[in-house]
Amino acid sequence: MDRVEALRQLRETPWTAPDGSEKYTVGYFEPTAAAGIARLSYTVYGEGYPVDTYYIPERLIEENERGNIRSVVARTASSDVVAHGALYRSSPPNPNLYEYGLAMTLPSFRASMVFARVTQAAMKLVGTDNIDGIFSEGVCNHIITQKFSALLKGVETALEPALMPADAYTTEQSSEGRVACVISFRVVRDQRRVIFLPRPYLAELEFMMSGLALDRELRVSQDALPALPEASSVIDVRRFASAGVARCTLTTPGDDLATRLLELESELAQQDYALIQVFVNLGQASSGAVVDALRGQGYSLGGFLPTWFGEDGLLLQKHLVSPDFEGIKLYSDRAKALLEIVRCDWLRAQNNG
Amino acid sequence: MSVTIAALKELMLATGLDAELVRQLDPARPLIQQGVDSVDYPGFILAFEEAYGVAVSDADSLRLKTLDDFMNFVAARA
Repeated sequence: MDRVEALRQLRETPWTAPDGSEKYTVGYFEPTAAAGIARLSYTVYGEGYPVDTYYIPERLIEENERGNIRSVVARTASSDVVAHGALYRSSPPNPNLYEYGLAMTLPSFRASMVFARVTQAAMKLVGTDNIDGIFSEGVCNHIITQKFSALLKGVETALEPALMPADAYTTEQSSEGRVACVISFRVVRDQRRVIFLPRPYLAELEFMMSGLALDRELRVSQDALPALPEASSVIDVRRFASAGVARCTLTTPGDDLATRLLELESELAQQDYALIQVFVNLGQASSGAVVDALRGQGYSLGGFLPTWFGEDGLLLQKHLVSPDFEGIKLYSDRAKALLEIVRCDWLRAQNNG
Repeated sequence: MSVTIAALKELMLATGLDAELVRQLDPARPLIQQGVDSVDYPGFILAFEEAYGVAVSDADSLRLKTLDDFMNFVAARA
């Protein structure tokens, strides 16, 4: 079944939503819940949710079986799914680092504890199976999502000041321009690692790593970019054209990095991209040289991403559209301190440009 | 197990509520009227359950409106 057929079935199948008075039970995914999740997605998002999987029961079953999604659902006695949350694999190369999200609650149940119960059950999965850590991205056009993030017991370590176009949030009627996100992490299973800190960000990383209780041997990165035989850096670029965002993972940095970045930026700018994000592996001894190359081309700091690669990551970003720092709404003092760090480095990048 | 208003306020701080808001809470007044909103509340309930080893049903959560209510809830189960 494809998206069109799934939406047609959902549109044409009569369904009466529970009125909120029914008792519910919270549990982990079972194939019998898949149709209910699709129905909930359709009820909450209409036909506009960008990911097909959540409308197509068969795909939900496949992805849960593969461990790419770990759904948690609240169901009534009549098997209606009234709330859903999920741990799922998204951008990180580390398959054991999951994102928490896909939070949906039927409107008639939003006054209940149901979503908190779903989140509570999802958090019990963290540290089991192959789920070593989680992260969440809380939007900053309001603070509600950030408050919910507190249920995850995460620590804010990065901020993306202009991640999503505001029209992605039109139903919330609360944003103009582009919307910022603050990223929180919780790492439960980990091991001692050596990481190489770029000299320009020693103090910033000390702050970002505080509160995470990671066992790390810290070294200042001093290696130059490796001279590759064919002088070819490997950059894995994931394009989110509708959002105007390109996420670039530097798999193999080489001494042609600066040239490759310029070519990439030129191409993306022509296609009206607004944001280029680069994920730098701090487990590589040349991370400092990578950061120097990025800073030299107007990139600025986004934050620290523990275990992103298995090794820790560092987010740098270049905004082709200026962020609206004044419009960013943050809940915690730590997030506000992060914003100042990110803003200062963005200003540095602007002044150097 | 006994519980005090001070301990409940400590728990609120641990869930990330604003320190000044928590300091000014009147134990006899509904939390929702004092700035603890519908997003803060579920987080506090989960922390409350964990701290005191009690289960709060959806029906209970609608009845627990003040810090005094929470204190009495634990006392009634002691």
